[in-house]
Amino acid sequence: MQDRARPLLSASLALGIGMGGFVDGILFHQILQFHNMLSARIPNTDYVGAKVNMVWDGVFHAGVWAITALGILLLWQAGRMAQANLSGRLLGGGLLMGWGLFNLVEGVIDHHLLQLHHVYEPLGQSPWDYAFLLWGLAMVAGGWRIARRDIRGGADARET
Amino acid sequence: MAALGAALRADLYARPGVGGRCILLAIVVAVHAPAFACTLCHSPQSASIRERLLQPDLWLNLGAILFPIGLLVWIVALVAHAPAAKDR
Repeated sequence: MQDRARPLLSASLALGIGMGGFVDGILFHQILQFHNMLSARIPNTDYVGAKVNMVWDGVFHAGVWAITALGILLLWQAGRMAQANLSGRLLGGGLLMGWGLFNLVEGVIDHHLLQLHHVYEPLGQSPWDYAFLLWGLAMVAGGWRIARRDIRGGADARET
Repeated sequence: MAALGAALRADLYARPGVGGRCILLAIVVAVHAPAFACTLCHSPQSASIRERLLQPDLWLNLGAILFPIGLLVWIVALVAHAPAAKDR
C-alpha cells in the first residue's frame, strides 16, 4: 500500500464504518425496528425489554459516533498533509470499504458468533443475516475496485 | 382537569402564537408530571429497567457490544500506521 494513500484511506474507512453503523442503527433499529442491539438475548416485545434494548442501542450509537469523530479527525489530518493522496476515488472507495467492513465485522460477530441480534429478529437467524454479509462483501469489493489504483500507488498526490 | 387540558389544547391549536407558547411553558414549569420513561427517573417503570440493566450480565453485554467497534478501530489504526513492506 502507498504511504500517500494511508491518511485519506484510513479517514474514509472510519467514516464509512460510522455511516454503516448509523444506517444500521437508524434504519434497522429505529425506523423499521427489525431488531435492537440485544434483541436475541433480551426480547424487545415488552416495555422493559424494549427500553433496555434502547439503552444498549445508545451504547452502540455512542461507539459509532466515536468512530465517526475519529474519521473526521483523520480527514482533517489528511487534508493538512502535503503529500497525501486526496483523490475522490480513494475517498469514495474507502467509504464503501468502511461501510462494507462494518457489515462484515458486525454481522459475523453480533449476528453469528455472539448471537446478540439478527437482522430480522422475528425469524431468528435467517437468510437476511447472510444477505447482510453479502451486502458488506459487495461493498468492500466495490470500494476496492474503485480505489485500488490509488491504494497501490497509480495516482498522483493531490489529484482530485 | 381533562376539560382544562382540552381547553388549553384548543387554545394552542387555534392560536399557536406567543400566547400559546407561554401557556405551554407555564404548564411545563408548573405542573410537570414525573417522567416515566427516562433511565434515571424515579418511577416503577424506570426501576424495572435499571434492575434489568444492572444484572450480572451487564459487563458481558457491554463488552459484546464494544468488541466489534474496538476491532474496527484497530483495523483503521492498522491502515493508518502499520508499516508497509513494499514502500520501504
